[in-house]
Amino acid sequence: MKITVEVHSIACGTFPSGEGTLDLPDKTNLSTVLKQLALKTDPDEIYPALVNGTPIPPEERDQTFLKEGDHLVVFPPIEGG
Amino acid sequence: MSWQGKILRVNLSKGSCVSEPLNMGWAEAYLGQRGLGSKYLIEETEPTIDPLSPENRLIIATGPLTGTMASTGGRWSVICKSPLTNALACSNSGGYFGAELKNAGWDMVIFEGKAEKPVYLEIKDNIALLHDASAYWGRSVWEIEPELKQKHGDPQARVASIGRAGESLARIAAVINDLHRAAGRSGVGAVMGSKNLKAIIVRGTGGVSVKDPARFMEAVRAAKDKLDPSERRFRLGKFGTHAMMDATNSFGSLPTRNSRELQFEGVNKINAKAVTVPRLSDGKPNLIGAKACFGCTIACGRMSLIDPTYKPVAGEDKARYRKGTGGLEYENAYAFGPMCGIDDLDALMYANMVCNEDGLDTISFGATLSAAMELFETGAITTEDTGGIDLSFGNADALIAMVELTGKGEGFGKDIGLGSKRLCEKYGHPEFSMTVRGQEFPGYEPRAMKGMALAYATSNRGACHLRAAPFVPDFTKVTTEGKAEVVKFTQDKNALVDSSGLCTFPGPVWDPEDLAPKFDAALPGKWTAERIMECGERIWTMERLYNTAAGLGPEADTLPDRQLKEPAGSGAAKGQTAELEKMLPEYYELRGWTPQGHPAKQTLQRLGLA
Repeated sequence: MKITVEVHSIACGTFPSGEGTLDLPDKTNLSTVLKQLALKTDPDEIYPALVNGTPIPPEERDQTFLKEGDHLVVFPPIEGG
Repeated sequence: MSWQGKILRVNLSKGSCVSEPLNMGWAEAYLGQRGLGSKYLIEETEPTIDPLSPENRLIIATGPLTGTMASTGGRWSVICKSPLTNALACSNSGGYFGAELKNAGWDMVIFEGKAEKPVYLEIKDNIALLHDASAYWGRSVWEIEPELKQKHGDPQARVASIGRAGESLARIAAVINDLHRAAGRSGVGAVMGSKNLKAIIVRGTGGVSVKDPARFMEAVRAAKDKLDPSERRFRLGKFGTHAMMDATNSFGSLPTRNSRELQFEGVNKINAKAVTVPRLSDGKPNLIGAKACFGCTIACGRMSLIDPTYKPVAGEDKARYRKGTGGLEYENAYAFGPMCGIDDLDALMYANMVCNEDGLDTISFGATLSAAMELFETGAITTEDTGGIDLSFGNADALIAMVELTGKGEGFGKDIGLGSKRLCEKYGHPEFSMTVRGQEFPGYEPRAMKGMALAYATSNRGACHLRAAPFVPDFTKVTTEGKAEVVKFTQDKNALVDSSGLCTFPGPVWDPEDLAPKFDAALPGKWTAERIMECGERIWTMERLYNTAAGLGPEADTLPDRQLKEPAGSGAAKGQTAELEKMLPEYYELRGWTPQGHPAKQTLQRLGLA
């Protein structure tokens, strides 16, 4: 299955431009996808991840399975200014 | 110790400048800047005074760590009663002015009364003199700052001043320092204008001492060692605050067209990426670099260069706009852009420059213009009111025309200068005003960010994104659960940081345990994480008591009907409202307040406020 990915303001090893398409095996969960993106983050950072616009909190990422055509957005744990 | 122990009191009615000792009892309880300045204001004035009357004070306050070697130790504040909100105003700025004032030997300057004619204050170490400012009145910040430095023969002097917006008493006027930094919020520039005070020029050469220099540097180094390698610091330095726009837009919490929508279709033309794209005219991007405030190791500030072929900056008389300038930051990009439905990057850049030049708060200006655009769309105001300007959402020419008029206090710009609440009331639609306690929303939509809903509703200076920091929990899950606790903790923490001389931007990288050793090595006595957090809680509660006495207590802990009753149309919170009522009771309880929202007697006694 294919999903599209947008990564904002985090260095991303898989998609240096911040955008791309991933071809994944069926039943891949969100935690696995996030590891695959090789994001440069601090070890204790919780960074927001949206699947089709819905935020998925860290405790639900193992049980969240991606499906064909999903759109994943990741951005840093950014605070205002 | 790193308090200088001295206040400069300037009576503008009498024309006197007098040195007086800092009240050390108050300093130990309220630290400096926001806390200590507010304490002085509260002790010296009635909460019901007219903010633009001579009875109001204008307090310029540094913190105990301002001007020290502590990273981010360049912060200073302007405190007064707000002419925008009628609540307590504390507007915080960076740059180099605050550190210079501290190095001149002063913890605070308190202005009282009103000068008969325009004046400015010169401070050179322990000498303070008032001078005639008639040659500077009616002119912009960008004109007078270099002229004052030249006149006093010191390019290293620092200046804080008002532009024409403050002179014309626009209730959204800012105090600008170092050309591009602003004590922006709550209309503090109008209070300065009401006192006929145009500028303060300061030069300080005395330095700032600390109690235990070796231990202080050890604490500073430890904090830097934690901050420097963090991704947070790297990202703020690389992208600035502007990076927030992609986050809020993706999430559906980017207030758009006066908060009627929560996502903006034109975001890719004005986001942090857009400012790095080379333009067609000269092959250069808008963004030219980053800039740091005094002592800062983050450098979140942006420096940009507008497209030199952009029509509003063409001509010899506009050369000042074709130089490197501060911005865009997230808040001004949001307020001029999505909030007004405008996706023209150069128009946003231009509006930002005029706000700095004439001394306007960018958030309040943009959010008030967006309210005017909704009034225009519904026919409540017409081109007859606006002097022929088409205020349709998305019209970049309207942004340019209105920022110029508001900056100068002319035409319909006078109405924009009232701020969103008064403007919407004047034209019969108070429901169009996206404000809390009369202050305009920053760039976070409360329906999608529930913690921010509570933070706005309970903020002591009206809608504000810097009085609490529920950002990450809000972006992680759309829920009210746990938000009261986050808001309460970060309100107290930010109150202490805003009173310290440091910046809030290191955020969670520096917890109270990281902050306390700096206080402990700089100030007399023992300073622990618990003690500084209690100072933060005391400051928050004191502000609450003042606002309640000013008529802006629990009844003002609310949001506009749009956020409370109209479900979000898109994004992560589609179909939801702000759900404030689910969080307020828990918040009051966590604060030790009554269910009606008043600090309980035991809480006041515990904090030494009874």
